[in-house]
Amino acid sequence: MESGRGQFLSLVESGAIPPAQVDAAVRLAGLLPTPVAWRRFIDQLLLWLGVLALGCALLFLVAYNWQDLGRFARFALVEAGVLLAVLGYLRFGRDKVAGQSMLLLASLLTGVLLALYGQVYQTGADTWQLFFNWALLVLPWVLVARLPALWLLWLVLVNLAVALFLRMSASAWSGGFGVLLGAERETFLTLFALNTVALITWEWLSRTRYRWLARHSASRTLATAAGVFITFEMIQVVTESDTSGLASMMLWLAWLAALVLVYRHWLPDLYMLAGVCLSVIVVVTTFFGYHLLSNNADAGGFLLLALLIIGQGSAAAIWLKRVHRDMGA
Amino acid sequence: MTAARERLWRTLQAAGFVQGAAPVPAEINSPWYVRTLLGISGWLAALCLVLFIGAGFRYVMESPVAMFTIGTGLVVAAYSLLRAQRNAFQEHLGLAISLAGQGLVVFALMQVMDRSAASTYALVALFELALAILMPNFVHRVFCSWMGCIALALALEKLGLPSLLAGLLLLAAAWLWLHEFHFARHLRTLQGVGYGLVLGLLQLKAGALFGASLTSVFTTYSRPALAIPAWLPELLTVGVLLYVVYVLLQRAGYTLHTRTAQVALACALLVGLVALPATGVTTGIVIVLLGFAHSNPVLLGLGIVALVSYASTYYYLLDITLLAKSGTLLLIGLVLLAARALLLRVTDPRREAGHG
Repeated sequence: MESGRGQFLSLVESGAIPPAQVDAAVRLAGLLPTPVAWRRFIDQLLLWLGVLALGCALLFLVAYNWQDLGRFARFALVEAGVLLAVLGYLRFGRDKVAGQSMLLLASLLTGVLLALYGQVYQTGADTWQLFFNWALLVLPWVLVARLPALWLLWLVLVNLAVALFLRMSASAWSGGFGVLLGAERETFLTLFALNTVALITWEWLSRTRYRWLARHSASRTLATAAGVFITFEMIQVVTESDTSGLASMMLWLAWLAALVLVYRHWLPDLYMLAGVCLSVIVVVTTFFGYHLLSNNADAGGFLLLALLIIGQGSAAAIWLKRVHRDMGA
Repeated sequence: MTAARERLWRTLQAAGFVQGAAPVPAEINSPWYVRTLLGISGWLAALCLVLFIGAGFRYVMESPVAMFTIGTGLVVAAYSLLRAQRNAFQEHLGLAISLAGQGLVVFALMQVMDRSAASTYALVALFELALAILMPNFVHRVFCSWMGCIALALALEKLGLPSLLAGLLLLAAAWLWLHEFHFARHLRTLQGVGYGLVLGLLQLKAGALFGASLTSVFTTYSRPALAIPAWLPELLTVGVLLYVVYVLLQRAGYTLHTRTAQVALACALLVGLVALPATGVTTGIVIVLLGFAHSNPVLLGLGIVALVSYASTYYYLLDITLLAKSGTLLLIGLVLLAARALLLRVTDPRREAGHG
């Protein structure tokens, strides 16, 4: 669907509005923010920037003084930061942006605190445990804050914890499908599954009970993460050419089909479809590129590859433009 | 036609800007991610084409004249393809061929001309700028402007004025985006170049996003910088911030006489001065303001990306200590929050109603 700006721009381009009048028409089309809108925008912008700057200042300070600070000073600093952030949240309340940004800050500082703990006490814990504990500790705040950005941070932490855990455990234990596939592929598939489940859950929740979750950017990020991992997996499959890849390929095709079905007709979102095109282009190109060029990189191979990319790109463009037009109509 | 489009048309009609029936959209603007997809695959295809020429026609790669001729030929062929654009396939093919042609031309120039002279890169920058204006394709314009920025950066570096570029680019980008609708006939050209400049700025200022190997282009000093204090070119960035704030205030109806305008400009100046050691912040703020001013979510997003990635770029800057950086950020944060409190007080609707 075209945004207001997109519609106005297409009118200008088709020449419907006399060029001399465009400048005046812009105001009428609602593209210029009112003073009230500006006030609200500056309010939020300066708040977020200010808080982020302060957070970074603290981070840099800690990094600088690392060697010189005593153990207690280090903990005191970070813990004070967490405490202040939580107090700030209590002061501002959940529904104001200030309150939510305080919780975001508190969550970030919790991670710093955990890292500090692991480093000072040399617990010998694995890196994945840091992220896992971080996600665990921060969960109550994430639930309370109702901030999509915070949910995404949490999911990133969970992803990191899972990825690092699998990488570590693969060397120690090759159970499950780790026997058949390399540890890397197991990681990719698990993370893909994780993010896909998250995406499905998000979409379901945001459309039924928790409407405040409904952000395009959130579901797009989740879908992108899932897409990246399944694409990585497929790259491994096409460059290894053994039969174990068949299941992965079925999974990939099923996922593509599901995305197209859901986001073409049911919950229209062109971004998802563009992601589908990108995944297909990457996998197909990698397949041909690997098999054409791995033995001898000759001119014909490059030309074929170039034509292949151009062909796929155009097909994607034609399809996406057609869908875009259908969605807008 | 969508309901929103109908409403827009009727609003414009009522005010007398348009007449008659609304036109059926001939070409709908593709969203940014579709254009990015096109751009990436076009670039990949161009790379393969260049490799094809390199592998298949060895003698071409050894002769700069042949490279230049074939490159120019490819660019001209691409122009006719893009001009007669009837479908996405032609557009895509034209894009890839043009990029490949440009690659060959630049290769040829690099081999023939003096690589340590600023004029070489200035020539490349002019070439890219000319293509950005002449080629009738949006993605192409963005790409060429971006490449032009890189070439310009190299040229200025050879002249010993590397830090001047950020301010100049920001000024050009700000002017273009503020006057986006003043040249309606060249709207797409303006926008394409505008986006390209912003991408160049992002790479220059927030280079962590693009990886260290690219930013080293901007930070290595092959010739000692001219004897101007470091903060002097950075003042240009502050100046651009003030310029943008001033124009936006005027458009919102606040002339210099009003309290609001004076406070806003003073705050902007303070923020800019405090952020002199970290001008990436000022740059990001300017881009964000430009994006919001015309309801452009892509530009707004780019500004936010610039600010966030500048944070990590700033961390790795080698010439100042982390303590100093921390202090700067602390000051910036405090000033931003103070400015916010002040501005909210001054523009409080209840106060304004009293002043009339």
